[in-house]
Amino acid sequence: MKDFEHLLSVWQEQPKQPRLSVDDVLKQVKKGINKLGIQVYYSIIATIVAIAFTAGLTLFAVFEQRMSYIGLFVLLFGMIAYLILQIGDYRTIHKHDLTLNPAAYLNDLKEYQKRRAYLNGRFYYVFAVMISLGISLYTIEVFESKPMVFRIVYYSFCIVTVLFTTFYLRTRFIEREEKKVSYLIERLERLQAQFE
Amino acid sequence: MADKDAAFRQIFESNSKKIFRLCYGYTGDENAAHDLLQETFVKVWQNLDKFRNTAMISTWIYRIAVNTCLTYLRSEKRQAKEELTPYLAETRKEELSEKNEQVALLYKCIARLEESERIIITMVLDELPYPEIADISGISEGNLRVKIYRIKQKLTDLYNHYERL
Repeated sequence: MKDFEHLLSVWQEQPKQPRLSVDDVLKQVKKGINKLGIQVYYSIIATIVAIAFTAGLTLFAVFEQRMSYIGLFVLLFGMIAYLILQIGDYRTIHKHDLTLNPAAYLNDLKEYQKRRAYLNGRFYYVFAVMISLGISLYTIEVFESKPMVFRIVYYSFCIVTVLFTTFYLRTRFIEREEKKVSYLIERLERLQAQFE
Repeated sequence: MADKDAAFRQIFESNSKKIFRLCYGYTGDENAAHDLLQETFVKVWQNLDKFRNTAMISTWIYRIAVNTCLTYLRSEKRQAKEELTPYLAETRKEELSEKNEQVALLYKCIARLEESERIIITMVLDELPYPEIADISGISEGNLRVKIYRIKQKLTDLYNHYERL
């Protein structure tokens, strides 16, 4: 029968050493670590690029019909609203550090989950309607000179894309993200309970 | 920047061994322990400027390491192992010295404990003072003493049980 003192001596005399060198770590620290918010970050960048392009078009392109400008403004409004919500999500997830303050991070995660549910749920339908409406108004003048077949193909493609995104891609994306966030929350809560 | 590098090197050299043991005790997996060690020191680097000497730097690093271990969540596949790491399991028994066998057995027993117990016991084994462990784990000192007593007993029982097998 061994007592705890024996285990203590086994532990303290163990030869195991980390094989990680300080140079490896320094290399890594200067590279940074990816986090949950990286997807949101890329989405923000993509939205900014789209806004810049649409704003450029609104400012510098010349249209004869007012509808084209209204379409572009509707597009811009939809994208800016989306961008604001995404920035809010990003800030929520980066308010506290996961490793420095897990309890605060857990609350942020719950708030993030609610925000994402709104963004991918109710807001998504508003966003999809605004983008569809914006594109429709904008393309009235742009496609005026195009043959009817082209217009039918283009609008059909747009409708199929919106339907595919809404009823297939979106649900898959929501499921995947929800699973990831719920798993993080569940595990953090379980660990928190162990220390209570 | 050079000053920060130098300070970081010194901190790493004096703390990495203990932090590695803590991570290894928590995961029972050498590769995962290295990942956690790296993640801990990335956090240390990122927050080095914010560190005020209100606490000992080793306590602060331990706290980061403990939280990093507890939030070891990247994927379900990387949950704490209940069995010996393949590295240890595949090492042929005859190649292990008696001491290494004992170390391997100790890690196996630690892996059988709950996550919070694993963290606490590795700090106890590294002989951190109780107030420091209480501070790092966020448990009151009174509760901690009771908890440590139970964990010690559980670990010793497990060790004796596996040694007999």
